[in-house]
Amino acid sequence: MKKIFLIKLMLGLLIFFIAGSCNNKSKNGDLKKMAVVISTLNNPWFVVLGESAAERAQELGYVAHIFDSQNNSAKEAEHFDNIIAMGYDAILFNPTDADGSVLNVKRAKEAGIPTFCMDREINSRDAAVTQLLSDNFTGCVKLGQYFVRQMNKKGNYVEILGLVGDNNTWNRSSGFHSVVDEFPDLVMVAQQSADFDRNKAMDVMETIMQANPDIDAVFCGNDAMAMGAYQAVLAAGKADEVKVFGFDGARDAVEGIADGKIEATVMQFPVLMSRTSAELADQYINGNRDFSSKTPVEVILITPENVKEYLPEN
Amino acid sequence: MKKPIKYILGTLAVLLVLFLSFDIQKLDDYLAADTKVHFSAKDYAADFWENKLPAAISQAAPLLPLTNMLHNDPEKAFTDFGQKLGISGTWYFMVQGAGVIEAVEEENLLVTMNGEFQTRIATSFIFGNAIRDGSGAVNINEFLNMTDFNNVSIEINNLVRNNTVPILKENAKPGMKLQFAGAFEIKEDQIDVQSIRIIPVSVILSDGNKE
Repeated sequence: MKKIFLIKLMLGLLIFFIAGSCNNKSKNGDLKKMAVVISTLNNPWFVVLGESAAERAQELGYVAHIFDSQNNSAKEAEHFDNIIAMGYDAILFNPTDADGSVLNVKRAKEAGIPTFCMDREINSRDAAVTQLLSDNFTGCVKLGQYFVRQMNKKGNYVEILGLVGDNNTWNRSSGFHSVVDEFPDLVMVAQQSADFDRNKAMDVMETIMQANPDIDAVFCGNDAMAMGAYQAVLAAGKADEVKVFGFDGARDAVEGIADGKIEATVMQFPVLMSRTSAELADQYINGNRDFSSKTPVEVILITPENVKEYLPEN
Repeated sequence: MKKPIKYILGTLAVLLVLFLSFDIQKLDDYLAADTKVHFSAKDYAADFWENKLPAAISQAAPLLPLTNMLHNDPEKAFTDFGQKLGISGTWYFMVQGAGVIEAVEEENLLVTMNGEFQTRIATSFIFGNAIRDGSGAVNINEFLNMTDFNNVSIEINNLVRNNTVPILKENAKPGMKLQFAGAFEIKEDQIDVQSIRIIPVSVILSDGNKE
């Protein structure tokens, strides 16, 4: 009887030590920590990105804290200072600036903290462990082809850009123009930034329409700006004349396509990106070092032809 | 020499050494110079076309057996011949084949192979990443950012427009024989081999008697 008890006790201790060595605890016994640094929480899309990353990190057994950079690179640098000082184990990072954020990631790397970029890119091959990025270019190539066909290869259009320091802005613009610029009868009459902001896009579109009354379409670098541009078009009484194209797959834009307000958008998958980033960070912490420096995530063109599949109720 | 003069000269010497030791420039300028001056997508695409593409063409899958495999055993077709980038449901294939031009359409040539299977060879709407990714010869990890990587696709497509498409646009007629190599994309949840559209990178036209 004593022997059985002793065997059970030994097995119990063995399991305890194995579990102890495999769980996500730091040397002093505290749970390991992941920092989720988000460019701005003033946009629902990024709220989803940050919360999904934190939720997945918690499911994997980590303490997760979200930091809001408020689209301010100085604020972002402060967050990195605190994260390094507090000894976080990994950073799930949505940068504010493709160039300006590189130094922050390098500082974290020097401090032994791995960074995993989500959705927004930094211009570096090796500062971050890996970067999970929506394939914005390919999405806008598909959107551009749809745009050309909807416009019958001719007409005047406006482009409203996102943040000019963000690579996503230019990858979207470049994908779109790689198609549309091949058709000389499609003329861009204005190109202006509205910082991915709905209200700014409305103001920008109102101003552009005053100077250019003959506009047939507007391509916006995200859906928030597309909805702002649509409001401006609607207020000018031109909702039937000006076709509005967006990017993101935001709920109101998808519903707008179903209602005939928006022509098309491109759906991104922030939950997939953020959850996968947390999983990759967990793999890194547990010893995996085999990562591709960039991992594009496919995006889907949403048009009236397939919008039913992507409506929230479906 | 008097002590104060010695100190002044010594201090000036130290300041001079310090001044010459530093090169002060704006952070923005430094970062811009560090990251943006080195890459030419046009040069990269030209090198790809000249030196990497021929090997990819020589290993391209024969189109007819591949379409049969895509129809009957898509997983094997993806594994054996497909290329995929990142997290995606789209596969790219480099293929080769020969057939007879059935019709010259606005954006494609309709080609009949083996007297039964029909496919389309693009002569317009040359866009996307089929060649870059289908070739398997362009590694995303080599690139500083996605912009450079994507610009390679744009330049490769320009080479298709400038080098390959004019041969077809100027000469292709129904009844002519066409030998081709190129790439196409297909979504793994929408496999329809009848809708394959190939972006051509190499073409040989003949009227049956001569090339």
